[in-house]
Amino acid sequence: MSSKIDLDNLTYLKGIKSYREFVEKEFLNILESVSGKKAIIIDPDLVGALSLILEIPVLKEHNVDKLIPLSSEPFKTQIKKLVFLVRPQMSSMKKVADQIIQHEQNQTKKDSVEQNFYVFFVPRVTIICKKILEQLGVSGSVIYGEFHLDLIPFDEDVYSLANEKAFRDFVLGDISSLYYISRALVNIQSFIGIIPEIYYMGKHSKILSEMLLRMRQESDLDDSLTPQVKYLVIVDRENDLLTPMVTQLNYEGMIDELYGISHTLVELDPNVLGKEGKIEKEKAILNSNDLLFSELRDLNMALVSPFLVKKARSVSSQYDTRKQARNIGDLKNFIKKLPNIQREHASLGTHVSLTMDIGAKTTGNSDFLERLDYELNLLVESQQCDDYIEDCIAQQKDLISVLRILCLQSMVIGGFKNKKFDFFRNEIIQTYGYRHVFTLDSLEQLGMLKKSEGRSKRGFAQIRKSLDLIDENYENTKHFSSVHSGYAPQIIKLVQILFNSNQGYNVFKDLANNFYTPDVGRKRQEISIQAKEEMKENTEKHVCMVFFVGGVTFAEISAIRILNQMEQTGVHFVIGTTHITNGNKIIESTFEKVEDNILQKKKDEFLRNKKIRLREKQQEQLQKQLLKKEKQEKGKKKN
Amino acid sequence: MDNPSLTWNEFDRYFYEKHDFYQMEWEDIDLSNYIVSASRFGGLLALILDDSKVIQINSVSVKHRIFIYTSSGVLISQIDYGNKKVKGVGWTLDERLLVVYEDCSVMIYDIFGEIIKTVLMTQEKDQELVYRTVVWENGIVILTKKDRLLVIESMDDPKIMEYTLPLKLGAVTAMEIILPFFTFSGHTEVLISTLDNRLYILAEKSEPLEIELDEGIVDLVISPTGKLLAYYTTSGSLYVVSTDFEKNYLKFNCNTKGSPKQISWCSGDTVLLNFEKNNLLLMVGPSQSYLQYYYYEPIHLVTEIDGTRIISNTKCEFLRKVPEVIVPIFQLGVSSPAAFLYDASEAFLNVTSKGDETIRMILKNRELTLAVDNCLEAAGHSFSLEIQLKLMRAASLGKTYLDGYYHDDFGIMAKDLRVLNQVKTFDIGMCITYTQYKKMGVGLLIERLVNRRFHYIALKICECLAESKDRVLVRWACDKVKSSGSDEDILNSIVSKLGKEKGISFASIASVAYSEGKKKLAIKLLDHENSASQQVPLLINMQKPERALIKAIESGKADLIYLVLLHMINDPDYSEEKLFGIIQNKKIAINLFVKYCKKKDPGFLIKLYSELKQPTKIGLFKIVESYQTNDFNEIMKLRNVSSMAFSSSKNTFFKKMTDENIKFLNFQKQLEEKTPLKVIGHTINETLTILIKREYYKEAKRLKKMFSVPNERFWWVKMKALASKHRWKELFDFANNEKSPIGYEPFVDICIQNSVSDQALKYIPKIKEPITKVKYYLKLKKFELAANVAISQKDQTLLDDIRNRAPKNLKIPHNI
Repeated sequence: MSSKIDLDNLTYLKGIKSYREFVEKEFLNILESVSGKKAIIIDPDLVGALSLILEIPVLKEHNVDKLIPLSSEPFKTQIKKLVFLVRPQMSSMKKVADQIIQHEQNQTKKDSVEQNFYVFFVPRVTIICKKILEQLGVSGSVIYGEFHLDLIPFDEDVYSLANEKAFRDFVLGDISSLYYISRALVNIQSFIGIIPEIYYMGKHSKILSEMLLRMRQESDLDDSLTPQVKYLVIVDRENDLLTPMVTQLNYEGMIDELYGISHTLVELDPNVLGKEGKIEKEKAILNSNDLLFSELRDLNMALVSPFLVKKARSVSSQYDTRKQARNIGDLKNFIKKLPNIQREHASLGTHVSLTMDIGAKTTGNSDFLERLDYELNLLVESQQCDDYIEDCIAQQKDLISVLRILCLQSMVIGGFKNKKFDFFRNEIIQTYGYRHVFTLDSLEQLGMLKKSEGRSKRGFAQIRKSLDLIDENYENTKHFSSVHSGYAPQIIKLVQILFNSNQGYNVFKDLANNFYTPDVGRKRQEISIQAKEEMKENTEKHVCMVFFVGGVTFAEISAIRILNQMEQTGVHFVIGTTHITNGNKIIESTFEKVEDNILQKKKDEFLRNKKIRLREKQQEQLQKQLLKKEKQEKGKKKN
Repeated sequence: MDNPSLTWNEFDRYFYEKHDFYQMEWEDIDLSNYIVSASRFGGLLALILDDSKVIQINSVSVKHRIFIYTSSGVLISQIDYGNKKVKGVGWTLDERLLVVYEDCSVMIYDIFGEIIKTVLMTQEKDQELVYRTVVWENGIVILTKKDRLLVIESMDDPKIMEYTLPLKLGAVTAMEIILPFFTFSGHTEVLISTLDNRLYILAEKSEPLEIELDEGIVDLVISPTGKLLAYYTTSGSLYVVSTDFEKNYLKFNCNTKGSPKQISWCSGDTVLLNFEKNNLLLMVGPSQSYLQYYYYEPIHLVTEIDGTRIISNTKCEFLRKVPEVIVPIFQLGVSSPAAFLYDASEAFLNVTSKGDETIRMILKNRELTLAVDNCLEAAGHSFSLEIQLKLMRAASLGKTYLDGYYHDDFGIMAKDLRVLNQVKTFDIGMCITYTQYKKMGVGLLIERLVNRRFHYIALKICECLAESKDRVLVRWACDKVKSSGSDEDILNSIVSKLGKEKGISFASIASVAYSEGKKKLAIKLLDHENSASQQVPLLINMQKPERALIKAIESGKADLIYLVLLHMINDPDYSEEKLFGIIQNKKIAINLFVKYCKKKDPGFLIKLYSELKQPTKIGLFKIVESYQTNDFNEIMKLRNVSSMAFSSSKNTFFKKMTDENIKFLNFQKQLEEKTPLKVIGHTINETLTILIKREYYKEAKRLKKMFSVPNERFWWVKMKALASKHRWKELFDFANNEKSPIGYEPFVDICIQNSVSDQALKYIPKIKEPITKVKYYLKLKKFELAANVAISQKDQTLLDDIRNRAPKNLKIPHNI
């Protein structure tokens, strides 16, 4: 099953196809450079990313015998070439070192083969990682390389670096991923042309825009290509951490909230899709290759069921055309269409089951409805829900969901009064553990949970009014506030303002400065005169890439797609991002992962001892057998 | 000018011609006294006095020197190599001089005598001496006097390989190599002939291959394509065989006394033998044909890919097979489309109408494109400027008759000819044929020009051919840096010339300045470098870590920041204070440093935090550490540090939480001592749960009071704990003891979850909201009870609703 998106019929950004082919080729060249049979030991999060650019079965054709997820667990193999494919993260290095050392130790034994190790970093090797490997005792016999997998087309209009750790790094003040983003955007410009106009909003976005210009100088990009993207709008996730806290209510967002979507894949319990008797999880691909899904994904959940009913009727009427076939010609026509109808039918089945399961978990669940109610009251009227939150903690509901509503309220009302602030924090620590002082500290640093500083003129109430965020009439007129049942994601609203002919850059800048960040501006990249002329002659809409530094939610992506259909701006938007995120992921990234080293050590020791015992036992048995044989032979001789 | 074919010699079905490139500029040079080594592609000559000759010129200046001349005999430099004995000389493709000395040392010089690299082929203690050596473009083979055969295949990465020699090696008469890209093994193969009629083929990691011959080999040469071997034997015969010895192509008896001084290949399969003593240069073709040239002065032959350069005391000549494209244009009595076009073009000049007719005739025969192409190519191959011009004119005329002719070809050839004619001039002295030029490529030509410091011409060629100028400019600047003059003048001159160019590596210029000892100039030059990846390492080398760090931060590349930081940590010259001083106020660097220290160097991290006055961070970090140990006392120690840290950072909430946690840990510790419970590591809620489950109610109450756990939460915890143990009676007593602060719905829910509906029913009457009561009754299918509620509430619609849901056999009243 490949999650590679079909890029044959692109209207915009046609260069993306050759870009992806280029990346795929690079990877295959890497495989070719390691001759003979090989095993790939891969960072688990890269498997999904990889299957977005090539079909995994292709690996077999290139002599890849095994694909093994990276871990510290020992495994045995007779394959001589071991290729590691890893992110340049310190935690991965430990695992790589463990593996290499284990295999090297095995090599000294008699029966094993001499192995070669290759470590390919994705997207780039770093000094620090090499250094750490060295310190962990990995000798110089390892061959290092890079695989420049930066921006990955998740869909025709969504390009992601698939760097799930990006936001966490920003929380820790590590902005090195900006460099990777910049590299990625410079690389892609050699396929889609130089992007002439850049807007930025946020401190990271500002640094990124400067980096982009500098890197262009260094890398000597060809400026004669006709730009396929005219505008690049870079925004920081940190400007708006409120929106992701709100439950996503568009179809795709809802699926992400309930089941989690990773690299366009969703894993479902088999009973969700009505497949009883199976234990393994079922995988479904969610991208626009599935035509039905591409119609559903942006819809508000309330509109999904009616749409499916309509669709079901149309499919069954298509089947019925067979009965009306009067002659062979009609029948032939029908058969021609049959594969399409069948595909639609299968897709319909999946989405109907999925919708039913979602229904049971949401509209059929009073907890969910209650939560939604509180959320909407907060967003629309700033109505506080202290009792509800207290109640949730008392019941010890899932910490992430508690923090989501707590942070949402804090951001809406501009912080808690002193006493309330300490009360909630105390409750969280007593209920969920002392270690969450980190979490509270990080949330405070990010401004998601704070003490109120009196009435602020820049509070959410003002933003709501100035940006006109609430539009509850989304069911009748098409509006992107539908993705949160009436609340419009702030960044999308700002983007709309930026490209609205009545408002434009100055209004955008004032609003952004006023409410979000002092770092707002625009920059220009020179392009050749010829390219300029060609861009003018272009009759299609100009394309704008909105790049989210630190992650974008599915609700926001849908909002942008709906904005495209609202046809107010004369611009076609596509999305770039470090990764796709949601409220849960953001809250989780503020947790300090405390590794209990001692426990790990004990476990290792236990395993090792177990092995030694096993080996001893085997040897004992062997000796016994030998003794037996000897005795038998002696007996024979006597005879 | 006459028809060039008049100077051709017909030979072995082909035509050969000899062209005078230069009259030698040098004077008083007698080649018979020198060993000559020439660089391929019309390149430089290195002359060394031949020790074996009786020295006739006794002046000191000639001894121990290598003279470097152009092919036109212009002296470029003299290299004084001291009191060593030269055993072999060769050129790399980019014209660096490789010299093999008798003591097994190998040196690479640039043209001006500067040593670039020294390689020792053997250990000094071995006291090995070179017996014979072969030097080629990028490698060396040495046969030592103690019979070791050593091979280096690439001087860029000099790995010394030793080949196995045959056990008994007779007196060696000649040695030759087959280049790696011509062999099956992909490694250099060495051929050695010996006096005892044997030829050995030696390769890496394999046993020597021995071939026994009828007679001894005097000299042997591999052809430029690596496919053919020519050898001359003691009986005076020339043999040509394939290098795999499968095929014999030629045996030719030279009938000449003595052995040739030199054997050389010329244009493919023809062999030249230089019988210097007989004043004879003998050319032998594959079909036994031969041609004799007489020279009354010593000559040296240089094999090129398309012919042979002949250097004599007075001349530099070139002998080649006439390129096939030229032959039909000029050969008398033969006509070809190109020849017609050429004639037509000449006719045009004489203003006759014949020209036009001829061209239309060629056009009609659909041969004009071919004719134009042939004229163009022939122009490239011609040596005479006049002929070049005429051929270009013919091509130019021809293409005006053609629609859609690809005009670039014409322009490219015109530019190529300009370049070739330019470098062929006396002072540059590069006699490169068109074939050689195409083979070597523009890059190599430019490299050679730059090595000769012809920066300006190299630059003009780059402009003419639209090649990148970067390399030339950088090399010019590097030479400029080495020149004398004030730093300021040098900098200004470099910046004014290079400042506007894109993609210039100022770092490489700066690094030259640094190695020349001009540190200040180096730093100033580095400021003009665009790429931080180039800047930073050099600044580190120059001991400018702060500047390096600033540049690294500007670049945003974490890798570079780490490079500087790690350098400072590992360098004993940087004390911690110095390090802190440098990274202070550099937030990005600090954050990265913190990330690194958390994994690798926690002690350092604490120092860093206290230096930065961030006690909260210390407190938090100590908490991380505390989760990595199981030792209770250690944990308490860390907690106390955290508490102090939070107190000094005035984070009262964190301090309170930490102090409470200490209190809580003590409570847990006591509990573990008094009871068999295991509670350390659990939260307050979890500990409460454990206490209630195990019926330590007093302790639970104490804990609740100690941390003022709100009633609501306590009720939830207790309720869940009792339910999980199925202690339903106790749960009911608990619910009845006092009024529930969380209502009674949770009790009903938890009973339903545990499928004890009889228990659930007990709590429903306690619920306030009648409608909630009804909801639960309906959930438990107690329709009569639900109906009673509706009746007591006097709610007719509710009652109707209940009746509709109830099974038909139940008698639910119709009216209130």
